[in-house]
Amino acid sequence: MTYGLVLSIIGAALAAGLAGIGSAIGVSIAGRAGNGVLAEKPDLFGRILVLQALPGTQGIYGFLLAVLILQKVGLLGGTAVALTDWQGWAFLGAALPIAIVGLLSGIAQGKVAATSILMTGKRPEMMTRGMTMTAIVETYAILALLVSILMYSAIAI
Amino acid sequence: MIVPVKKARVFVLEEHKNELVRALQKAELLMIIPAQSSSADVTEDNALLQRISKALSDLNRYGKKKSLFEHQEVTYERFMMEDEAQERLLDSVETNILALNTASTKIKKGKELLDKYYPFREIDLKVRDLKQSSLVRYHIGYIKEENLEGAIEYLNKNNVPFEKLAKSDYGSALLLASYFEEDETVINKMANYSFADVDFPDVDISLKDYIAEIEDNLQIEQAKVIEYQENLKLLARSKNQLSLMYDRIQAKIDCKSITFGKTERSFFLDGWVRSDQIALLEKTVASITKEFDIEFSEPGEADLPPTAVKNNKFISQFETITNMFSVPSHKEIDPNPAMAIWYWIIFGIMMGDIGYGILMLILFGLGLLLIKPKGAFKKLISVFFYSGITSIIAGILFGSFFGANFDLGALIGGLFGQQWTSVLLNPVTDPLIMLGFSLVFGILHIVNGLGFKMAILIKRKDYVGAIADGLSWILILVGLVFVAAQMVIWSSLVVLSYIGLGLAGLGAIILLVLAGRKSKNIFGKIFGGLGALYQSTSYISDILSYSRILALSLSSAVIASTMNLLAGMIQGNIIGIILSIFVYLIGHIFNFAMGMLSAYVHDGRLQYIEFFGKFYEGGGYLFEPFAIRLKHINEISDLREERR
Repeated sequence: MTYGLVLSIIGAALAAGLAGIGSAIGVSIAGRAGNGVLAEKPDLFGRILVLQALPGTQGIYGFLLAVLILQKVGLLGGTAVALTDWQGWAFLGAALPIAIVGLLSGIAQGKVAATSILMTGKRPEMMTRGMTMTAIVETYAILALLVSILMYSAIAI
Repeated sequence: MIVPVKKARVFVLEEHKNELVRALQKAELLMIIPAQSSSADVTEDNALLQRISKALSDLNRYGKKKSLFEHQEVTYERFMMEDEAQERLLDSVETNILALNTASTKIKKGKELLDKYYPFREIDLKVRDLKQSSLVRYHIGYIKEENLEGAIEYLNKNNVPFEKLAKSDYGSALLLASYFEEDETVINKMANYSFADVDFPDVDISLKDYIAEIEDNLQIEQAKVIEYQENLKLLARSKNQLSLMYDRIQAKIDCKSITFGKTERSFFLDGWVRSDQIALLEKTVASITKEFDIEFSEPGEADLPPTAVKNNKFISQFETITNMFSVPSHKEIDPNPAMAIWYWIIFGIMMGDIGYGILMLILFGLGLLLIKPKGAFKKLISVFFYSGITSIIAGILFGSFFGANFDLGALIGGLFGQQWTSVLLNPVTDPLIMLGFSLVFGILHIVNGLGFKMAILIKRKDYVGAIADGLSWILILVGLVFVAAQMVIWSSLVVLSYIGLGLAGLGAIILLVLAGRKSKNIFGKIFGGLGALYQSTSYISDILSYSRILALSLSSAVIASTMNLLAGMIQGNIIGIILSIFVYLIGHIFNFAMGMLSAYVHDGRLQYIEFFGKFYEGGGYLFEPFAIRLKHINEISDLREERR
């Protein structure tokens, strides 16, 4: 195992880990609001579940990039590539956008999701508008994922 | 397309009022504007509605709940029939429920008594005798187990006769007798041993007989409960009749709540009618009476007419997406036909998998067939169903079947011995090309939106505005696409680049010259133009927003193949293969659900912000004619056929 390979693993760990933490916090913020609403209006479970799931995508994006990296460096069903130091740093760098933005946007999106859930509790017909509001936060996670993937695919090994 | 609505005022004589309202409710043609007068009293009907509602929810405990797949249909005649059997059904449900509750209460009380007196069942003396003894006072009660010994010692020492009876949760049951003069001391002392006195029941018979009586009563009541429950189970089978009654009473209340305006001799009803249904409305009213008059008028300046949208079967399903953002206003161009096509295609690209597309067709197709949903929900399900088709097409072009590589063209080509391929582009291996495609797709979407803006401005006769705000940006965006195409695809066609630059330049000049046209002074004009060019940042962010098409199709494809990879890794032996089936199932169901959610939300966002942001105002409200509101029944069959 080379130093570069270790760096790429750290990159994958950060992508899945930080973005996953962001989503976990996000869905927990939304989930807490959701439970409060459900106590009063149990019939809204389906709608609220959908809203709660929205901040969960950052974790998926981070997971996605982690799997891509592990696959490219041959740690997932293949033989490990002997990466140079610079290649390793490059993978680590490619992981950072989705790791950092995933962490912070997941939390931010959770807060919007929580308010959307409260709005849905009062006016169930407004649920999809709340979804749109919540999804706008996610734009930046998507852009970060995109940059991560573009960087990732530009790394030649 | 938006159908203009007209204001209608229907005049009839008093005696035809009720008939007219019924006919209008059946015909679903007129959206009634309430008149400023008080409506009929519906308190009684509402009370009846409450009763039915309660009976229905009570019956739910005794019969099967209406399943999602059950479809209740009646004819209009049957629906409207005032059925005495329904009322009898309601009465007997209520009687049974009441009797059941009474019996249950009795059982509860009996059990409490049994609990209290059961340990004293051995006392075969009449309670009356125990109470009316001339020399001693009898006590029954419970004492805690740990104090029992001390208490017995005390009682023996003082020669108080007592009897230890059965044990229960409260402690040991005791019967003791004390002389009147000693009574207070004994009881006080015993209280220190935690002896809790129990009152004698107010009966003449012995406690033994009393317990037996309670037990008998309990049995009787329990038999009754079973009988009532059986009755209710039987009644629950005709629950449909109560559902029918509920909807009928609701329709009746709706009719009664309609208020008429009044002239000297006649009554009138105001409402909105679709301009293509005017003849139908006249026919409907004429079927009631010959003595009527209808005045039609265009909506005035102060009026805010509802929006009636009419599209073909495919487009109309996507109206629900637009309505979620805002219902078009009555003066606007209907965005639905264009929006539907874009939404449909983008949804497909975002899912981008043959397997998931087939799954959507099956799942939502079955949903439409079996659940027979209504209204906005039905439209949403249909949108997903139709988007299954584009998902399959996108999946064929991306060569993805549940995340596995799959080349349909090669498969068909193989049959004919040809080297064909249907895979145009794999987003996973060529993300850059896919990104470019997404952005160009976005530019076309935006140009379409700007085209609508031009059309709206031209309709308002603001030709300069159409050129300045619409055409200029279209030229710039199309020009940039030309330049990009030359640079990326046809590098030898330099002329393409020049055409592109020319178009973009022309657009920029138009913008510079015309954007400041509303300012009075020269500085305002110059800065207006420059300010408009600065808008290009917002266009750049709009276009970049379409990169989510790539991101979502990539994420659904990569997660699907990751699941396949994980499943493949454990397929070492037979147990592994069985486990891998679970990995496939759970992984793909998860990815499918998240992919659907993401595609639904982000496709909507692209329509709402990037597309609608260019031209759409909304702010209308839907044309919803006065109709029978069905809560429990699914459909009135002959009305559906009439409307075909």
